[in-house]
Amino acid sequence: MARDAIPPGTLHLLILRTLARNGELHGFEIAESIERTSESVLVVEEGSLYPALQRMLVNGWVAAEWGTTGGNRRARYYQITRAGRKQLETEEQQYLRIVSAIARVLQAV
Amino acid sequence: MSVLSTLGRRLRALLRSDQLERGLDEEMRLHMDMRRDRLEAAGLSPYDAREAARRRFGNPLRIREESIDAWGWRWLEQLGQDVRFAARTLRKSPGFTATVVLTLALATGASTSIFSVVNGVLLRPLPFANPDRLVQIYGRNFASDVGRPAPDSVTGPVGTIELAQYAAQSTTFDGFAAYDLGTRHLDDPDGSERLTAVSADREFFSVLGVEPVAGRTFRPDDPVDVVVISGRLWQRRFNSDASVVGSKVTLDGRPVTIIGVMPERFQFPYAAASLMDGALPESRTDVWVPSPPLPPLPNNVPRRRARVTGRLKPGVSVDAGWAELRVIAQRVEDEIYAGNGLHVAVRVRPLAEEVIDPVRRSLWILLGAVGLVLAAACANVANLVVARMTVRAGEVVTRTALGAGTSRLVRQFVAEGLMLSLAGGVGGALLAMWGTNLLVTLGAAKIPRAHEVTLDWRVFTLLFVACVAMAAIFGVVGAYAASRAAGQLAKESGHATMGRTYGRIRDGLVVAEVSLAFILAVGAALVAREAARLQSEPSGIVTENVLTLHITPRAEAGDYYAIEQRVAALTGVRGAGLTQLVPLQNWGWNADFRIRGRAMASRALAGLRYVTPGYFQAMGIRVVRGREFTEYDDEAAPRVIVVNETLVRRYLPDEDPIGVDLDRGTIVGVIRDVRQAGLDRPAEPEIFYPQAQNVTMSPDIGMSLAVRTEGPPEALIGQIRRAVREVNPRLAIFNVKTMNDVIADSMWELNLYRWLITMFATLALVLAAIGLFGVMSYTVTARIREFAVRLALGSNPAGLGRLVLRRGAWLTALGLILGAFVTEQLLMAFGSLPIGGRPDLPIYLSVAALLLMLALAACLVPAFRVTSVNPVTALRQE
Repeated sequence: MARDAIPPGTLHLLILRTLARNGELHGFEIAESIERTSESVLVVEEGSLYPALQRMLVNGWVAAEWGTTGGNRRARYYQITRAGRKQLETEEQQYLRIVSAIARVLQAV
Repeated sequence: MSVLSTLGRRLRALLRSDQLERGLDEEMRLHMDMRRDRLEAAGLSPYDAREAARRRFGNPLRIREESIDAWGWRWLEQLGQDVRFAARTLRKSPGFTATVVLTLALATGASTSIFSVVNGVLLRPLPFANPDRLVQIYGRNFASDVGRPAPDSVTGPVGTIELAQYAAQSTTFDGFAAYDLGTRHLDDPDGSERLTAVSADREFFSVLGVEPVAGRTFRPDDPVDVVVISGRLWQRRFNSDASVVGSKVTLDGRPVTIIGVMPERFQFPYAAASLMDGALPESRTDVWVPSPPLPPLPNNVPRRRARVTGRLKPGVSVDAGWAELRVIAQRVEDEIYAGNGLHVAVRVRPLAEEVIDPVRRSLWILLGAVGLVLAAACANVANLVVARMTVRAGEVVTRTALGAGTSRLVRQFVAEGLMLSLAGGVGGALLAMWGTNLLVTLGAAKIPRAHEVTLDWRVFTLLFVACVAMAAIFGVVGAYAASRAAGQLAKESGHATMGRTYGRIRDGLVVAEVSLAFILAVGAALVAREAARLQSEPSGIVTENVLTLHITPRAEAGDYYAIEQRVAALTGVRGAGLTQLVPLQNWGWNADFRIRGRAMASRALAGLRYVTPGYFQAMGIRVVRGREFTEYDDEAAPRVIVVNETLVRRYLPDEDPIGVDLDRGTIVGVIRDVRQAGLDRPAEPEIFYPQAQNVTMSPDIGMSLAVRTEGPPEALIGQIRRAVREVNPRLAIFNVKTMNDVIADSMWELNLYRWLITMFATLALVLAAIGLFGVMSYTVTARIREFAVRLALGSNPAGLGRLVLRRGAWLTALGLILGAFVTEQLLMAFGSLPIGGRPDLPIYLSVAALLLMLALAACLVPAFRVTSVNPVTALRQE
């Protein structure tokens, strides 16, 4: 099965979308969710999730709260904020615009 | 909004950085554990699973750093490191650190203190509404046969007749306020307190444009039994109780109503201090009362005269106002005084000028002096910092080799500079607070507006920022210099010395410091010379074992004579007598006089003094001709006066003055001149009256008793007080001072300047010495190998030492020449100094000798180091 590293600059987008879809998740769940929904094509370098999450916390796109996992361990659960949804929308549109533009270039005869 | 909340989140993270790091660690551990469990469940061995989980996660340390960096506080952390490092380095060279910090603190502290005073007194507008429209009006009446006085010499109060006409006819003035100084006694069950009182027109407050803090000020229809009190009296006597407005107090035995309280900063007239000091322990006005109505006299006889402040209409210049008043004065002469031949002179000048003129020049000169100190301090700090960088080249090489980038190096030097300037700034702030308070306290009675002075934080901040900028510049220059030196060091693997240029800069700085010190020291020497000259000046009175004290309130002449007799009869008293103006403490009361039956060539003016018969004896004033007063010179007897030698010399030069009839009495005696107004002011003509014949003009403020004793006079204070009480229990004693103290007080201004200038000069001298020491030490260090080689080749160690001394002397001599040149230029630019006159050759030479000695002393240690160089060790060290 081919596995691809995620394109640069899209990590925020992926995390935001994942959180928007699933509600509260901790870091490992986010990584798993991205991998699962991409049908194991996209591999997050798992560690890089964390600096990204911190940056998003700074910007106020996500909020974090400590909770307990099913295995009864303390974990930090992230949740998308209203600012995060707005950001998601902008980034998503921008991404789709770029991708379709690239696709048009590639498919031009 | 979102920027703010982002900032808020960042700050929270900063404050809880521990929590942040722990949280991250926990999160990442959880992640790796879960991955490991997942992989184990998929069938990997525990070891493989753990390793694979790690690989998939990446480098946790780097990720942790990156996550923390996301919050943007990395620079702060590095700054913390730099600061800690700087603190360690500075601790390692306490001498350098202490010198720089102390230099900065002293220079910024002293300059801020002086500038605060200059700003509060000279620069800030007077605290009244539209102060630029306020003017002081002076007047003088003179007889037609003595000639019109020069405009500048018109400095007296304005006659009420003229004033009424000015007020009625003027179109350029909004209003006039006349006022006079006096005292009132506040009586209450706990005893009586003497207050400085200003009796003023009802328009006084509205002309000045000031508002009370409680109650109201005068209204045109106010009766005389109301009073406005000062903020200070309000606090002291009434606990700042607002309900005091409307209540009654007893002033001089009469009940009056307090109608208002002025703010604490309001003190007017400012000159209250200089006019009545000595008689009054405080310079402040305590109460303002409405002027009493004028006594009924014919309309063309000049009566009371008052000090007058006026308010010009908007847009009217001082000159225009003055011109109009001159026209009105002329009209008064022509129409009202037509019969008696009196003339009226008038003068107008801005109120601010009148208030600050006495101290303007002195304060500017002090500011200039402190500016020189600041310049010397900057030169010194620059010098020290550059010197230090050059010897730190080795350290820089090591740190560069260990991977420190240039920017990090510069940052560290800047951090060091910042710490130094911060420490200096804090020290300077403390010093400035202390110094400003000290100056205000010392100057309270003599510097007008001293009570308005506050520490100028803006100036302090400016100076401080300048210091920090300087530190930054030196940090960068230093780092650059050091890294260049380091480059050399690395290339040559020899010893590092700074280039010729840096040596030149440092030499130049030292020369500048020496010349600044020279200028200040010449200034200090001038002031000291002036003080010595004044102290040796004959005052005309005996000052040892003489006690002066002020007796108030005003009493009958009989009381004064009785007090004199009782005190003179005390054991140990050699003489006692009263005067209304103690020499060197207060003066004034000048009046015209005429010699009966003669046409006077010019106006004759003399100071009027009222004394009791024992006064000349008590003060040790010699009677050179004729006689003193006796108790028989009383109201019933013919009017007699005693005059001083100056009056005789000026107006009766070629005759026997005894028996000459003046319009103020017949001269019965001549006394030796007494310096009344100040040791630096020549005696003026004086006329003395016996107090018993002085029926109309008895001063409102009481009289001063002078007592000459055989031993220390202080022991007699209690007995004197009792004697005064026995004569009249209503009388109280104030302001007890020995005559020596009075003289010291009269030199107060000079002494303050002497003290400050000497301090500044000393500071500059010390700075110059430190600078020289630094440069010479550095030169020796840099040339130590050369000296070692020379010694090894048989040079005379003492000769090498002399080489160092010669260089120090050479730099000093350059500084001295520059200093003398600049001093001469300054003198040419500013004319002579207000005190002390011009420096002469002896002053130049002695100051130069002092500086040269100091310079050689500063070079001795480095020179000695050369003579004691051990060639073997020195050469091996390199």
